[in-house]
Amino acid sequence: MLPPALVKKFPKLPADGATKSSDATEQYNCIAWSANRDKKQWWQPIKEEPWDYWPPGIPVDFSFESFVLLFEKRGYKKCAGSHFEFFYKKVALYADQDVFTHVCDQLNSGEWWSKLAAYEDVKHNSLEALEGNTGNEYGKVEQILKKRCDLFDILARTFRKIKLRFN
Amino acid sequence: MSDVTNKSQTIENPNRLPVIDSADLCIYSAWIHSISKDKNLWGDAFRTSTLIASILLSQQVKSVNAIPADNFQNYYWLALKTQNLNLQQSAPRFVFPQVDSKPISKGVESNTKASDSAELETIFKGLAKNWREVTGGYSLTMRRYANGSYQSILALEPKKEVISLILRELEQRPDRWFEALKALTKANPAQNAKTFEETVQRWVEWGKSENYIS
Repeated sequence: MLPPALVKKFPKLPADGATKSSDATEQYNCIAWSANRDKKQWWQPIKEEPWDYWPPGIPVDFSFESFVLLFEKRGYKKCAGSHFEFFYKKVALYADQDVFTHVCDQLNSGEWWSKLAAYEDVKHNSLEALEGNTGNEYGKVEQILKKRCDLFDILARTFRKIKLRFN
Repeated sequence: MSDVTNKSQTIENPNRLPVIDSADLCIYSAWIHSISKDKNLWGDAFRTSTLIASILLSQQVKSVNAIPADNFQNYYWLALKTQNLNLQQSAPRFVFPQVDSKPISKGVESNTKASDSAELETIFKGLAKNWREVTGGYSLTMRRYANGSYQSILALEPKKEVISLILRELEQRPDRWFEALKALTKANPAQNAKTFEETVQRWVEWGKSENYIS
């Protein structure tokens, strides 16, 4: 069940069938979550607090390309489609007027997992659910990147596929 | 940036930064085209674009001079870059509460102080709510600080009361008020904090020890 305050800010989430997956927290943001499943640091180019973090070697110029580079350094490569590919995990970077706004990553189920800034984590079915310019929406998806799944992810996806076949 | 630091000590609302709108551009273009017909030295397009670019650049230089000093000098780029985003996403814009502007008589000085504090609190709460609602979904805090409501809070007076209001807000609704507090108090009691909650706690404790809040 999505909190009403969150629905007000992201009005397309209910129609998408999105679900809340954790409580709101200001401890970590979407970049920390999608890049490293980091729940202890807020990833952003300028370190303001001791628990802010930015990976070394990534420019701190706030350009959209720097955020793409952050994921490229973690093994992702630019690609075109957001569709589910069995052997690849994907991330989608949003921007509004060329300014980076959000990133989410694709789960083994094909859903997308977003940490909505200081709000809750949500799982949503489409990338369009967070697109737009009203409320707190994130503009539009500007770049998809993908990288090969590790063994654990491939096993998880295989079991999921088998389970779906027998259900 | 050191020149800028010396020149400006106040936080200007980025929404007040000079902006060239499409009407201005039309006038500039028409003027340049009229010159180009007389002198025909370069291509129209090149001439138009260089002059417009130089005008825009000069406007940007002016904007940079209007940008605040201290901790916020790093934020000017993003403030400029996200100016339009903030305008779009903050609609409807925050409207300052109506303030009674009756003349103040000396006989009611103590009441006046109390009403001034109440007015300041009303304005602060309105700005804080607007800032929270408009920018709460931003993943980069610099975009949050570039918001007009946040910068308006930093420009409120008297500073001591504003610090108290921010600390009370931080205690009741924890949020990223730390940069504002650092800018206003020149202190940082949470420099070794490990988590968001710990940072909030240290600021609140500091506020109590310095008698900003009880």
